[in-house]
Amino acid sequence: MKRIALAGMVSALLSGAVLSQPVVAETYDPLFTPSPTAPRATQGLLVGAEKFGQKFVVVGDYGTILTGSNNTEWQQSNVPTSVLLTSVSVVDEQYMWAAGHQGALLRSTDGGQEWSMMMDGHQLLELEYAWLQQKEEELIAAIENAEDDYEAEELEYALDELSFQMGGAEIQYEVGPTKPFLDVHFFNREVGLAVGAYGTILRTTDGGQTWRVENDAIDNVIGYHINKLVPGPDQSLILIGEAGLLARSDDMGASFEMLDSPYHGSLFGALFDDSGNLWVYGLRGNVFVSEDGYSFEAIDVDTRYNLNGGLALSDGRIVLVGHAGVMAVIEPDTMDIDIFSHPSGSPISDIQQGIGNEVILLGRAGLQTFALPAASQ
Amino acid sequence: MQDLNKANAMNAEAHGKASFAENMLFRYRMFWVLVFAALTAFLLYHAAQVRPDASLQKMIPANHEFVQNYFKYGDDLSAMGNAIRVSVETTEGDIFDPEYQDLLRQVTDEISFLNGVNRSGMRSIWTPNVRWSEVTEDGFVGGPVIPQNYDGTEESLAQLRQNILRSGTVGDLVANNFRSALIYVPLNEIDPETGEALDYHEFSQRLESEIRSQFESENINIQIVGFAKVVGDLIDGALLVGVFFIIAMVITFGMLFWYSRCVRSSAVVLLCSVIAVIWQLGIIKLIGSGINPYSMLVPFLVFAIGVSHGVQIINAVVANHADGASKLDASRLAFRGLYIAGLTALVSDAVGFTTLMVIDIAVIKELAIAASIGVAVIVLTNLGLLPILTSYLGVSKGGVAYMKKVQGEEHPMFQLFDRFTQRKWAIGAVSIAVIMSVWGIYQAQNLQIGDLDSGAPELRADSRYNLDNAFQVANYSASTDIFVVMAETAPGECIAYENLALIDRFQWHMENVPGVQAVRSIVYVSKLGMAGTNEGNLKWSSVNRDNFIINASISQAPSGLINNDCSMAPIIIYLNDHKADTLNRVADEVRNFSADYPTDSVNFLLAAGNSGIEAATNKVIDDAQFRMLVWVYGVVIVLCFITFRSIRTVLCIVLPLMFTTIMSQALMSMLGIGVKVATLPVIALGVGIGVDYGIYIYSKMREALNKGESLAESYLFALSKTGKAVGFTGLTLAIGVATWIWSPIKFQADMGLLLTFMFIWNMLGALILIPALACLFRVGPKSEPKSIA
Repeated sequence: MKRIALAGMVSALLSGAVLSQPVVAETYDPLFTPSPTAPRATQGLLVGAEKFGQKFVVVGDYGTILTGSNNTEWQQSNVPTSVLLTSVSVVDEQYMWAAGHQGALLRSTDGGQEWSMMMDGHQLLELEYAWLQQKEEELIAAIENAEDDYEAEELEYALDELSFQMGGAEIQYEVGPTKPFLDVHFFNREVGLAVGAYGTILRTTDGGQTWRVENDAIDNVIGYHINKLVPGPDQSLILIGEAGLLARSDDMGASFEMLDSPYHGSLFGALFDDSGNLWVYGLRGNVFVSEDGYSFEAIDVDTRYNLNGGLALSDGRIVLVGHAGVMAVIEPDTMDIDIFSHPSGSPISDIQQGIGNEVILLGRAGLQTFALPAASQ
Repeated sequence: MQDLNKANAMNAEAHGKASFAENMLFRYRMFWVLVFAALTAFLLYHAAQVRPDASLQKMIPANHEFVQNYFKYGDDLSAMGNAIRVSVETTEGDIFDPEYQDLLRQVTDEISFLNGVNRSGMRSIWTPNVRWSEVTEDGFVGGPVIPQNYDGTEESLAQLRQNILRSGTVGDLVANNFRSALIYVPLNEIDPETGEALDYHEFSQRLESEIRSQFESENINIQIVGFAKVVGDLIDGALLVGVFFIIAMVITFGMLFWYSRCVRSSAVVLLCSVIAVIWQLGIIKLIGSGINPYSMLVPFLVFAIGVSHGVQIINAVVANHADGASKLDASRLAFRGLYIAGLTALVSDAVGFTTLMVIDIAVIKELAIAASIGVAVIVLTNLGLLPILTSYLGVSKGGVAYMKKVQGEEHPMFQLFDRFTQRKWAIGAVSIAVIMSVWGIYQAQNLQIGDLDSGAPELRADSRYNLDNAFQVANYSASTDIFVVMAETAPGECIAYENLALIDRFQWHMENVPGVQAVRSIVYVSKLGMAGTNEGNLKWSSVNRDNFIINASISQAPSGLINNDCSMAPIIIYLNDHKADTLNRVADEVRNFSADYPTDSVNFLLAAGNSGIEAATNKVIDDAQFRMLVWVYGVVIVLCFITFRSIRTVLCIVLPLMFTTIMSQALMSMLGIGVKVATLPVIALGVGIGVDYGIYIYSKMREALNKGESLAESYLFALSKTGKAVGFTGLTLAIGVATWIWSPIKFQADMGLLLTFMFIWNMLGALILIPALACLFRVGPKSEPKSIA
């Protein structure tokens, strides 16, 4: 009792002085509140993972970032935000990036232990608004310089459209940051892209000091969500998204080429197998494969569940994971397909290969493992 | 011995003149008989209307902060809470069988016809509100789980299986192993048409007769789980207590006869004690109180205490007859000799019971009131009516003859107990008691607060209800230990982004608390809905800042997750168990979170749900535990001191009681019985009634000591005067409550077991430890204080 009374007096003396600060702001804002330390961090919603060295970095809800592997402890990193993190990109043993909701982009330079906020949704809103203003100026200039009425009319129409977009952006500004980044990829410590909802594409060439809005780099007027960036051979990059969105870049994301999509539903992932074939997959068990990267063949995987993530195993097999704990294991040479289902039956978002045939699954039930049967020789 | 009795009788005469009370009583004997008869008829009429009442509100500490908060939002929470879950299990094959599906449809239909069922809220795979949905390239598609053209064929069953898988009802309405399906049945607490409150007992019986017995067969089992069923089973079990009462009466009559060998006086004692019970029940009905599964103990205690005091009267009456007194004089003298002592003992019982009032839980207060009324009634029936009746009826010749025969004998046990007045034996007995106390205190360290068993702790672990509950817990994803925190916001603000974001963090905080299985709330639904509206993509499973998007995400939310004016959102925390440690940890973490994230906009209120209420009950019990012991021992010590005016005497009487208290706590700990609403009063009752033995024995012993007899002689005298009565009282009390051990209600069985243990242990403690302690404290004859036997 005495101690409490004393503590009360001390805090009364200090109130109004520099030391008295509230524990958190009056209104809780997950975007700027550090991720809570959670004993059960491996059991929360985890959606993305990447390998680095012998370890993995895993991201998920409440700003959770974990590093480790299944034969070591998983360690929770210090993260300055509590929003749902959707993806992670490992540059090298030190540098890695993570992306998440409310426009959060994070970077670690010490192998994933400490993370700092490199972008937040408020900055993103300003960036996008400035980009729209710049487009507006360019359009107005173009209208003045239009060579004929027809062109001017077209440009006026585009300007109308743009001012409608700017109106929307102003409303967004009032609401606050709502857009999630859905994927991030860095080619090296300087050059990288972050993509997400409503066609957002950001690119940096100076390690995240400055970002450029590159939404127009692909043909996506409607603003479909961009779900995934998949690096391929020779600095190539595959971009996929909603409504069969499919594009390819060969210059580290500076420019994109639209590909003929084999599918008009949403694509959630893509991967290159050992032979360099491109696999894309998505809604309702739809899987397509392409040898040349241009013409796709539909593969009948016997599942109707969404396929959210995939991985080429070290033995050459491909595993696609999805809802209801489904795992489709495909032998690319023979096209033999086996369907497995994790006993938990909960949706899986991403997969990494553990030791041997054990796979690490990330999803609604957190981090789970599953021992796949060995490949038939 | 005869001399002593004579001396006693003369003593009583020497006490003089008939008191005013005695004259009033015996001069107008017939008048009083008629008054008692009239009152008994009147009160019997009212007692017959007493119905067992298992109202939840009375079993919980209504003034505790948690419960007050729960009451504040009780109506909002009831939409979520009061439901039963009926599962239909097939022991052959799985649920994809046309006959099984036909049966499930029938059960669903039958249940919907029961009064009290909220039909529109019912969910089963056969209700049209249970649908599957799927995102396709063209948007959402979906339909009812039962295919439109269902006809029981292979194809339609295959279609049904597929619909079930994509409806997300596995683990909810369909067992994880596909061998049973579940019907979720929300209840209307108040019938919306008639405005009548739901009669749980009747509802439970109709579930048994119209659902369980109608549809169960060789390969179909039906499990029913839910609060309404617990209450129904509780009342069913409580009604069985009536049978126990009859058994206790029969046994007691047998013992009375064995003791007195006189049918007439045995019947009179029994009659007066039953009249005491009738009065007690009639009076509690008249004062508007009811009888609950806890206070049902009171008639048993009243009956047993009535019998034990009645025995004293009869004993004296027969002795007076043996001495040649007339019917009337025998009764008069008995009354004269005993009414002061009886009154004192009864007053101390009543005062002991009233210490239970420190526990702020309605059922315990009712128990305390009922017990005090009962004891007061015994004063009238067994000290007043009983001697009047014996003055008319007299006693049988056989009884008088038996009394004459045994008066001369010395019971062989007396010699045994008398040895404890010798130093060697005294040291031995006290040493064993000390060793056992140390062991008992060590054991009692593990004593838990609250209920420890899983399922419905009110019922036995192997009761049908708890087996059903275990079945549903094993086959469906559900815990029955539910702790609800109410997130209170300004009206209309319950789903504002800032509030949902904080609730989201709170939810994750609680999910990380050991003992928590899962947390569900409107936030959980909103996050699921966000993923759902984004083609099931988990990367969208986050609360959005945009209120329009939030509204869309919760459009499919089940009812009850926000209240009508959107000022409260319950957060449902599913726990592994309801151990006190778990509940305290959860409550503490809720407070810690509120302290870490201070805000004006969300107030995380504790607590509702069965586990939340239990946390409050545990707190009240834990707080009351020590206070109650202090009170009851305080009262006993004061009473003993007033009576005997000696610290040593008080120690001699109270230490054996404390020994019993310690041993009963050790017993509770060993048997896994927690300190709870049912068992805490038992300790007070045990001490309050247990002190009687000590008072009887010590007062007689003192009588002889004052005459200069040695301790050994004095104790032998006390034994000869009261030894049998003490033994008889202990056994009657024990038998009265021992029948409870077979009650289907777990806490009644616990009460019966503990009380039986305490009554017998107190009796032995008094008979062995009082002389031993008296020896060690060097209690001796008044004239030669230094001489010790």
